[in-house]
Amino acid sequence: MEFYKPSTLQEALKLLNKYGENALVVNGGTDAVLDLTEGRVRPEAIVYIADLPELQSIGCEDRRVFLGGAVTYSRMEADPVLSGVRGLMECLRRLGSPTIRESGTAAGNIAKGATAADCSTMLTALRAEIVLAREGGQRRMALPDVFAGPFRTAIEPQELITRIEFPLPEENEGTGFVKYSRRRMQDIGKILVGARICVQGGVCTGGTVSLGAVNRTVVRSLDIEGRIAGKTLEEIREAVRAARPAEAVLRDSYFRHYKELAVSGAVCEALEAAWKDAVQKGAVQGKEAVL
Amino acid sequence: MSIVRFTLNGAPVSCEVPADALLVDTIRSAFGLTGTKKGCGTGDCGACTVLIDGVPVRSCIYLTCMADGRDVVTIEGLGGPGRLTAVQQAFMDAGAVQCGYCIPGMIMVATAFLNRNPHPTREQARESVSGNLCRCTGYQKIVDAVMLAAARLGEEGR
Ligand SMILES: Cc1cc2nc3c(=O)[nH]c(=O)nc-3n(C[C@H](O)[C@H](O)[C@H](O)COP(=O)(O)OP(=O)(O)OC[C@H]3O[C@@H](n4cnc5c(N)ncnc54)[C@H](O)[C@@H]3O)c2cc1C
Repeated sequence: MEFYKPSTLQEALKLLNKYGENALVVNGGTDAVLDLTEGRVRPEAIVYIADLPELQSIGCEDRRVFLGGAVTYSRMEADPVLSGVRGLMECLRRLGSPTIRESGTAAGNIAKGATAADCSTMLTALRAEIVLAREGGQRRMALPDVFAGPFRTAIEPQELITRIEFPLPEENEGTGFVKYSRRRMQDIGKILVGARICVQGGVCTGGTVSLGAVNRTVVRSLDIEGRIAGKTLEEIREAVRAARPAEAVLRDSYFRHYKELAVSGAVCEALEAAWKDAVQKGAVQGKEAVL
Repeated sequence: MSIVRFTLNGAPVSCEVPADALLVDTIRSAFGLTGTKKGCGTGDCGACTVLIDGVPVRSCIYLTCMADGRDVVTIEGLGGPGRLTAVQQAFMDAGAVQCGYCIPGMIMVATAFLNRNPHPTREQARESVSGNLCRCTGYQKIVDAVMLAAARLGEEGR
């Protein structure tokens, strides 16, 4: 087994092209090193990408937020633009522990393909896309299409996530995130919900809702999205509580019964948080307009 | 095998390790610094926390090769008998230590936290050690120790 620390993206892609399935990409390493230690992967080459200069940027251009493929959670938490995306901030606050957030990356969360992945869930609600680079080309893919099954993604062994992008929420859009877990800090979520909704004239004019840990992968809930459109907050609560999201397809487990009972409540809470965020942002903007 | 060069507690060091060697094992075996504890070995408990370029890292889910060219500080690099840091002294004075196994990790995390956030609220101090497990469950006194260290560092700074 060889350890490589390429100094440019090109070099990294070249290594991935050469080793293909026999390469292991290590970013923050918070998942990958354990996979190695526990023998789940046996690569010929470890390709360490955390310091690649091409993967470090974070910012917003033409109202599109972009995050480089090696940006850590703690850098996201400290970013002034992202701090306005409430649901994402709540997601990061609940993700792992401060130490895990110093090393862990959003790209690693996506590429690992876990269903109980906090950041993948929130980014799905934010309608994020990833840019996948390989030697001699690149392509884009939307979340959650990249998730192919438990710990499986559509990312090819020769590819790297170089960038994650999502449209910055507008003034009348709010975002929310809810995580149900046994412990408040450093615990894997039992139910995850991300929400991004647009509120205009007292009704929800549309939005995106994502679920984690209640299906084989992180999913988008078109069912809930359909139920909430055109409704007031009170009507949304009623519509969501009426039935479990169709995309919550629970496998047999110790937590199944609990999840069945709790998932609608979690969706409701995420939508309430997103609603509150949208209304508050709208109110702040309204005040400025008056002044 | 790879040759890895880094700074360990202020001194330049090098070692030859397999690509999948874990930093916690290298620190303990190759360098004999056993203050860094290997608890769960899965990144959950925080006993193996060291500072890398000033940032707390779990050395049981960190490859030795990843440390190449970096600055690594273990509990031994903070202070020893007669020259304890304010954080180490505060852990003793607040009675935060029971069996002691989690304490090196707690102190590394608290040190990095107070460097960045010298005037924390108690809630922030609690959150700073939230990823470090203490099986003696002495969390209150550990948080007391972080707050005591903050207060003393604040006085020194004035
Ligand atoms: C104690 C602990 C607590 C945790 N808590 C949580 C939690 O609360 N919520 C949660 O969602 N996760 C949690 N995790 C899991 C983990 O921290 C996250 O999934 C993290 O986002 C992984 O990022 P990383 O940079 O460390 O990825 P790595 O471990 O470096 O990589 C993960 C996978 O992605 C691949 N990869 C990484 N970057 C790229 C890239 N740019 N392009 C292509 N492939 C790539 C790697 O090959 C590997 O397969 C926890 C882990 C630990 C150890």
